[in-house]
Amino acid sequence: MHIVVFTAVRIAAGSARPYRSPTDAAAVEMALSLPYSKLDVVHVGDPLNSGLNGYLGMGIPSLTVLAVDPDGDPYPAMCKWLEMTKPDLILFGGSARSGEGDGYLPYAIAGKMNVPILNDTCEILSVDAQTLILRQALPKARRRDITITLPAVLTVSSFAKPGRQSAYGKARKANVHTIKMHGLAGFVPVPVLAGQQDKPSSLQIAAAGKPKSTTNARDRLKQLSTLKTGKSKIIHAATADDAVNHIIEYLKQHKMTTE
Amino acid sequence: MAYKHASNRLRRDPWAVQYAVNPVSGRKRMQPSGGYATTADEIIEAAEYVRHVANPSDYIAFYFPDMNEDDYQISRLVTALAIPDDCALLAITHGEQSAILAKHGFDRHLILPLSDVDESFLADSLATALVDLYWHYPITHILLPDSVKSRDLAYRVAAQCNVMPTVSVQGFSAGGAIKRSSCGTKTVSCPLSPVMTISSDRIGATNQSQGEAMSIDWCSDMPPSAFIATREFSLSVEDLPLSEAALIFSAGDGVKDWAAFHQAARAANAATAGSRVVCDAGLLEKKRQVGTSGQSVTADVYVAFGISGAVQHLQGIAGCANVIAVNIDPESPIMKRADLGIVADANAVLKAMCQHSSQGEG
Repeated sequence: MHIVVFTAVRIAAGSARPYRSPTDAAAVEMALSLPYSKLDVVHVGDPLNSGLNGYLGMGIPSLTVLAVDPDGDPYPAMCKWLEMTKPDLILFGGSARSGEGDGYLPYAIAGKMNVPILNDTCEILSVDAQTLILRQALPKARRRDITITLPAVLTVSSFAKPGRQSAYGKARKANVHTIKMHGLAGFVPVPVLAGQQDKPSSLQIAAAGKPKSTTNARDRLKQLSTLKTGKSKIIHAATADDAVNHIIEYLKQHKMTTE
Repeated sequence: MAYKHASNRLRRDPWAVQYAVNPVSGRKRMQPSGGYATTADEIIEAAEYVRHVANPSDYIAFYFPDMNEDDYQISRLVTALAIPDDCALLAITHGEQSAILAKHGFDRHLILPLSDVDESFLADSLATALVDLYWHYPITHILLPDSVKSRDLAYRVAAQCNVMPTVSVQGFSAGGAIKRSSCGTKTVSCPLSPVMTISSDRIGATNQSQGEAMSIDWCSDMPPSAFIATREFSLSVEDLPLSEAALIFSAGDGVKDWAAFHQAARAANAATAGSRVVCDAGLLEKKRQVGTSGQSVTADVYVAFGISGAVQHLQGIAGCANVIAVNIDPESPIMKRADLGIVADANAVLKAMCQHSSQGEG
């Protein structure tokens, strides 16, 4: 089985230092646990990016970097490389569940290659020559077992086994193959919506976390933590049984009891 | 009456909330105890006329997977978008809800049969069905709620139609769709994409016209799926990551009877958690600590036993919908945060709870 894992490097918001994405590392970890005949961990971008050490130190056989311009679109390079290599299984780290519209790239790739894609994979239960049985994480702590035929694209859930710790020595010794991507003109990029305009948000909810610095830290915490959806109802319970009845009634109201 | 969430709790409507000026910072600040969202009935009473679209030249499609109030919120967009007279609003659902949809201003209604795939909802066959619709009718936009499930669906539809989707749309302006970027610090205005997901609790209720919700037939079967779902189950509370738990029993320094605490939690099928004091003391595992130096949880109901409610702990439960506090001190900070505060000794209550559950079994 030929497995490809696409990895990205994130930039820490405070220090601007590059680091490995936790879900991408979980995808590498998942790939390492499978019986692969060939494993390609791939990064599209700059081969000298120090954030890649996080993946190199995981003990992967080698890292393939598809070199594109710093502000170039990774999508055509990925499409072309996948067309050349034709892997059986492609893994992506899942995106955050809220926030910007990222997380679309795996779907665009799967659509381009015309293979099925499954989101939020948290465990691979069994591997056959052509089929995989895997577990998908659903909202509200639900899980689902799914059988899927290869080739396929999977995105890895944040509930999957986290990536192993990166070892400095292994990162120093690991091989990095750089492939300069040419002839991408034939690969039409995903149509990006033109004309995006940035402006400071007027939607920041009550400027959460940024009250004026003259208030002390305790007050700032309090402002954040006392939000609630209704009014308090305080009951002085005469007996413990009385208190239990109030709790059970409340849980029943909110459909939290199985009784 | 107010909007109810799927879990039957009241929804806060940020748009109905009163704004007040913080005297210290001079900033506008939301009054947390403010308003609740308007019900469908209240909107409908305000609706003045019924819109007729005889021969629609194009459609804007709204997909409602669950038909709950979360879904209906996106129907409020109807007024936010400038809709031409010959454009019909099409609601795509899995069930008969024409009367409600008409009141929400929909002109057409299409039922996608889910029949046997209902429980094992497989996104790829549903996405193909939506794409079939997209090509069959002149649909200009498909709008979905911004849940995990719907976003996956939106990406699949967009990939099949080869367009760039816009997700987590916060609202609409003359320039197009408004969404957030850079971790919520900026808003971005981008052109309307054919496939968009709409954030909940963002669009205020407004007067709108009623529609006719005429049924459209769609008699093709659901396309086949590439996946076979064999089993679906809920994680047991022991295996559950705390961040995913719906019901949490949490213990503080006031809890001394740990056997009763664990037994009560097991009986109620609740995940167990604790404050920093008990986790530092080794009475619960470190991964069960809730608060600033532990985890933030988003349970539907969080039951705090013997927890006074230090701000660091309250920060960890800021995302919980309902909080019950059992504490001997009526003046403790947790009582101000709690939706139901019970002044009693936590150990006695836990003991009584165990007795109650064992009686229930017997």
